[in-house]
Amino acid sequence: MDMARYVAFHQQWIAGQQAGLRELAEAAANAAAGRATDAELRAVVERCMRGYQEYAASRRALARENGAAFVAPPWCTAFENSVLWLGGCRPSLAIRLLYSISGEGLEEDIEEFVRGRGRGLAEGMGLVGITATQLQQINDLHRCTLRDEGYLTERLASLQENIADRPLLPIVRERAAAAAAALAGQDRSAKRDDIPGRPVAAESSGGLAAEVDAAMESYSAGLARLLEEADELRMSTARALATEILTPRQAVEMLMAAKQLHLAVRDWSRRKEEGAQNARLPLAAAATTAPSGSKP
Amino acid sequence: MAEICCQEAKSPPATAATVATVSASAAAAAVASSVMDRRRRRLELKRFRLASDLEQSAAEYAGARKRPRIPRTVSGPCPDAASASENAERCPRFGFSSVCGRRREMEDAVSIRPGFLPGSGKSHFFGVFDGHGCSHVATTCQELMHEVVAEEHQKAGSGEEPVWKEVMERSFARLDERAANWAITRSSEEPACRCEQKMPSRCDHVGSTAVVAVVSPTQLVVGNAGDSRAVLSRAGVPVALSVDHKPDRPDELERIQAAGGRVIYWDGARVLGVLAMSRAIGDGYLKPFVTAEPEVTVTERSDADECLILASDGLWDVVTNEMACDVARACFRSNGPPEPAAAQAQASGEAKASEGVSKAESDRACSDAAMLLAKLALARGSSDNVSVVVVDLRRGS
Repeated sequence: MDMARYVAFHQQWIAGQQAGLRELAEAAANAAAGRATDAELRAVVERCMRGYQEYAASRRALARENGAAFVAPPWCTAFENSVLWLGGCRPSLAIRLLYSISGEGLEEDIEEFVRGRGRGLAEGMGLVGITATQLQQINDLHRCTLRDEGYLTERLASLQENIADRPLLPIVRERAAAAAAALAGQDRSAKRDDIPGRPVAAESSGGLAAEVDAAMESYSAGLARLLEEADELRMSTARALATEILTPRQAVEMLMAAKQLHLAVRDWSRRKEEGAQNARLPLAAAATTAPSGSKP
Repeated sequence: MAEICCQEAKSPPATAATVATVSASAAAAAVASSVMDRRRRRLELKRFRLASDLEQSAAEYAGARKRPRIPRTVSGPCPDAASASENAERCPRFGFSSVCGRRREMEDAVSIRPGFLPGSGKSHFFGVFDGHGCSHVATTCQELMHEVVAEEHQKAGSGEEPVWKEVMERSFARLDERAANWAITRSSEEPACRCEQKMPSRCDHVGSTAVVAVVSPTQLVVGNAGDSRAVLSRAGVPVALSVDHKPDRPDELERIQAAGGRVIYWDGARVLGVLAMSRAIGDGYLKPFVTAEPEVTVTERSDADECLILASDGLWDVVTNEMACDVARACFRSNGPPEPAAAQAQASGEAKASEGVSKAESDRACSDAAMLLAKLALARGSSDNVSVVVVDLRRGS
């Protein structure tokens, strides 16, 4: 039930991403043709950022119900999950992405520039045209983001290692011991034809189940808190880039590339996974793809 | 006369160039407690940087440069030579770019110290240090190398022409010693670094390249250990002022083998299969095969000199000397807004171009060149930190 809600939420988000990509692509085309003002582009960037912000806010509420589901979402493909970092992209990915797209067209522009032709430095070089000051600011942001990413990674590591500690491990051990004892009792009772140990074991395992649930929930809540902070880091890095360091036009290019990458990875990996499933289970294929594939 | 301007020039330049150091260590030292704190801090850091980094260093530096002029024009002990020597002695314009790039650790460091020799404002220090294992050896070089070179220069002191080879050799040796004793000597206030956290006993597995240039009115002195590089653009032709210390360089290979070491090909040629360069500051565990002894070149400056580029292998791995010089010269050419006055000045020769263009813009040309080279390195897939320093050597610039 809950899971269906999460899946619907995710699908809605993906649909929003697709719409957002269309809007950004249109804005980028208009900007390239000189038909868009900075104010218009800024509004597009702001809408996009608000979309991320609202998504993070809604997801925060949902993740509090089930942190684990959002850190390792079963509605994403295995490939998508393999690139996830605390429920989303690595915050530093935005900067790597920017470095990559700022290289587009650069080689050609520099070639022309060195020959004394083409665009001057004032217009910037390459598709995105990062200036010297911007590069320095991006680098500083990069280092801050990497540092904060490191802090969160360390905390995730601690949380994950806690699984081998209290409260879960003692429960696991106790339960294993109880199961062994019950087995031994069963053996004995099989010989003696009565079962005195049985009700006791069942009762204590019922108590253990509650403890296990509590422990798992507390772990999941820890994940939700980390996810929340990871979202804030993702947001603050993206926002600093899109609204403080980059010009609106550069920001449109970056945000568009981010959505393209996200959606393409999703599409490719889904196609591949569905292909594999269809090959294995030709009859069940329709059933498995229907719930996620029915909505746009 | 030299004394007059140096006293004036001595203090401010240090602040100008340390800006890079300050912002980097401020970022490293900051420890986040809560998300809000962190965000606030990041914004603050950013604001600080926005205001500080390049603009401020350029501004402070411009201020520092102006200062030595005042006593000279006022007191003017040698009026005939005044304007010529003024041009010759003040620090050439420079720009730099140093980015983390595709690496997750920043181990490069850049140091720029105009007028770094006490008692003489004529010589200017530029250094690029590319650390490996951790950043602390590179950072130590960034903080200390110019002071050590200045001290050794003073010790050598025999008049106007100290033996630069020895000055550089002693300086590199002292920094190497410092790196070896780093774990003992470092102050407790310094933030613990990566290597220490992960491998307390392995501080001697850390090192750094060092390419250092001392630019005086008549000479370019370059000391180098490792695979960073200094390249001079002279009359449109790139001239390498240092030769990379790679383990498979024939003379280096011979030296390593003579010392009883081996070069093993493991993802490229490496000393003992570990380090992909044959000289470095630090790396105590690879001594004597890896040495800190620099190779030193002294080049007389000429009117045909255009610029000096120092950079880490993050640039040189993907950009040729020729391309780097072409880009820097193109930046000089297109310097300034495309207004008729500036265009005229450019068209009528380089000496005039600098008169027609304000200092701030000219500095912008150097930092644009450095930035463009860094961007080009990233665009060509450089997977390392990229640090580039561009010094404008044009006479009258």
